[in-house]
Amino acid sequence: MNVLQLKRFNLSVNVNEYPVKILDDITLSINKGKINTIIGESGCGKSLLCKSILKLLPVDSEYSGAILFNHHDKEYNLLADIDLQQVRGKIVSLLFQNPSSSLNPVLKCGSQIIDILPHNKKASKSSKIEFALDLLNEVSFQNPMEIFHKYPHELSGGEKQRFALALAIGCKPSLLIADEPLSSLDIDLKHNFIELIYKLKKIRKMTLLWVTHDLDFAQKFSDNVFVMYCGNIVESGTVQDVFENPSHPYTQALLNSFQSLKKDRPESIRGNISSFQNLPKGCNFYPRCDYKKSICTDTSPEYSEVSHGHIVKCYVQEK
Amino acid sequence: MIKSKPILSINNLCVNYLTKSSYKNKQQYAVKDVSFSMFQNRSLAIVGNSGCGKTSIAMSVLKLIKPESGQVFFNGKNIHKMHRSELFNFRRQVQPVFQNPDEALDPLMTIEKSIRMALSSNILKSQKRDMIISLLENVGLGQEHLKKYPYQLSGGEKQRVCIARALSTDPKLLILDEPISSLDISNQAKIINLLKDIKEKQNLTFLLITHNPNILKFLIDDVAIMKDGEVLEMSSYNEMILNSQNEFTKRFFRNEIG
Ligand SMILES: Nc1ncnc2c1ncn2[C@@H]1O[C@H](COP(=O)(O)OP(=O)(O)OP(=O)(O)O)[C@@H](O)[C@H]1O
Ligand SMILES: Nc1ncnc2c1ncn2[C@@H]1O[C@H](COP(=O)(O)OP(=O)(O)O)[C@@H](O)[C@H]1O
Ligand code: SF4
Ligand SMILES: [Mg+2]
Ligand SMILES: [Mg+2]
Repeated sequence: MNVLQLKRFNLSVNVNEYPVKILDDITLSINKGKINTIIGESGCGKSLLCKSILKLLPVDSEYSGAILFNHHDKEYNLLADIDLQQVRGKIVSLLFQNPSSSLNPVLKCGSQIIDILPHNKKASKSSKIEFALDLLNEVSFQNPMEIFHKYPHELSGGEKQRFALALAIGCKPSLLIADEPLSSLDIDLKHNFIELIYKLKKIRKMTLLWVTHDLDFAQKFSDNVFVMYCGNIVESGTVQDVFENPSHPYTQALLNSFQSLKKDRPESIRGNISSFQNLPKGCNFYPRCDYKKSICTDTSPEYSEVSHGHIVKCYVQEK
Repeated sequence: MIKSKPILSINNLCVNYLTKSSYKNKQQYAVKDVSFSMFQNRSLAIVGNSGCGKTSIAMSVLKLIKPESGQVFFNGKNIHKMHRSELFNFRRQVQPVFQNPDEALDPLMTIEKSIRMALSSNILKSQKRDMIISLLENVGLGQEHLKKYPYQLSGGEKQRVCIARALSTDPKLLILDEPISSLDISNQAKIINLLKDIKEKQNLTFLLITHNPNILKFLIDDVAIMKDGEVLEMSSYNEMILNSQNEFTKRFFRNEIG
């Protein structure tokens, strides 16, 4: 069953008083209880995509298309404010890329957790504290009481990231969107994160849509993968489709770079990501592509299906 | 072998965050009696699990927090006893790149201005712009970013601005706190290569903080392993990979995903 669907979603943001198109014709659907992973170069629009789903957009953004969310047989239109209000922070929650920016600096961690308790007026004080400590425990704090009494600025990088996670799962969301939740975690804590997700998936059928640069974890723990480049989803499919049969030249270059980090000489993808103000005509990737044909520099390719559900936006794959 | 003087020495450093919020005013030693020295052109990594005190050491070395006890010497001078001009020099020669680029960049300053502020006042105004452009180019950012504000950049782009800015004062020692953990794979490779290059070209020494053991082999000569505020062991990278008997260390380098 589809939990989330984006249909031809487009987003422009305002840069120095000019609208700049970032997300281009994003169409995707996400199944319930699955781990869905977005990968792609910094600046390609992953965070804006995550924020778009809960309409947490920069001022003066312009968008078109549809974002639909299904929950208990009800369909919500997330671009409509009335529907959005019933969903945001209740059934769908977002863990921001940079945890500090989403934490309240003047409230102790404990109070911040208690604030997200549903109907928190009725509960007794001790039950609120218990709720908070349990939640802190869930995100691997061995000393929850200490964290409870600290301010966010008194946490280390990894602790902040876990605290933000606690806030995001505290409302028992049915869809968790997590923007690079692993970046400040050590290997043990990364494992704990995945275990927690598995647990929530099992007991609540929670769905995860997450962004990560940790391709080891992406490969090991995803059901489906979306590869983004310059505001497009250039390849999507099951984790096997994308990692074992990467079919877009960008995905191939990315995986190649990933392998090189395990060897002696790190190899980056040649050239830089094009700026959104200056996207090339034709395929966005052609300035860096080893397989480009003449048509690539002229017209942007359509989506084509390599195999069932494995979709690629590239001429090389068009039949 | 002639033993050169250390560029950085840390003696019996203790960091204790005793804040009003501390639970029952319990003493919390983030760093417990840590000592080590670093020499020019021998880069050191401090590695260990989240919360073990790595950033607290970096902050002490940068003189951004006051340790409870212990001393930090830069080129033989105690950083807490430096005169104004010595301190000024120290701040230019020891540059940080932090874990979180958002906290490092002023949200109200354009990228160009952020870097301009860091450039020496001896540089002619007319040359500054070209320098800024080439510093940015060095880290893979084009001119279109000059007039942008931090909020208009992605996380990875911001981190590259921070590295460009750190390099702008021609430092000797770079303190890198998780410099690549917010970057994508291709940019990780790019930044590792960039750091490798500038290390040689600009004769830099790194103090690198990370929980990612994979990047050490590219950038680092020596490694200190930390756990719960203490240094468990310290040796050259190769020595540690081959011969460490410590279970924690061995597990750390295995870095397996299960
Ligand atoms: N300002 C502060 N006030 C109180 N406690 C603090 C403060 N900063 C850090 N701590 C605590 O000190 C310990 C060490 O923190 P530090 O930031 O040095 O860890 P770290 O090794 O850099 O971890 P990470 O990899 O998660 O960034 C942690 O337990 C943290 O909660
Ligand atoms: N609030 C904003 N205003 C203007 N431009 C933005 C804003 N946020 C992000 N951008 C730009 O949009 C692009 C995509 O950013 P982002 O979604 O953060 O990328 P990613 O998460 O993939 O690294 C980048 O070029 C960035 O500079
Ligand atoms: S469409 Fe052409 S330029 Fe674009 S990725 Fe495919 S081959 Fe390369
Ligand atoms: Mg992002
Ligand atoms: Mg830290």
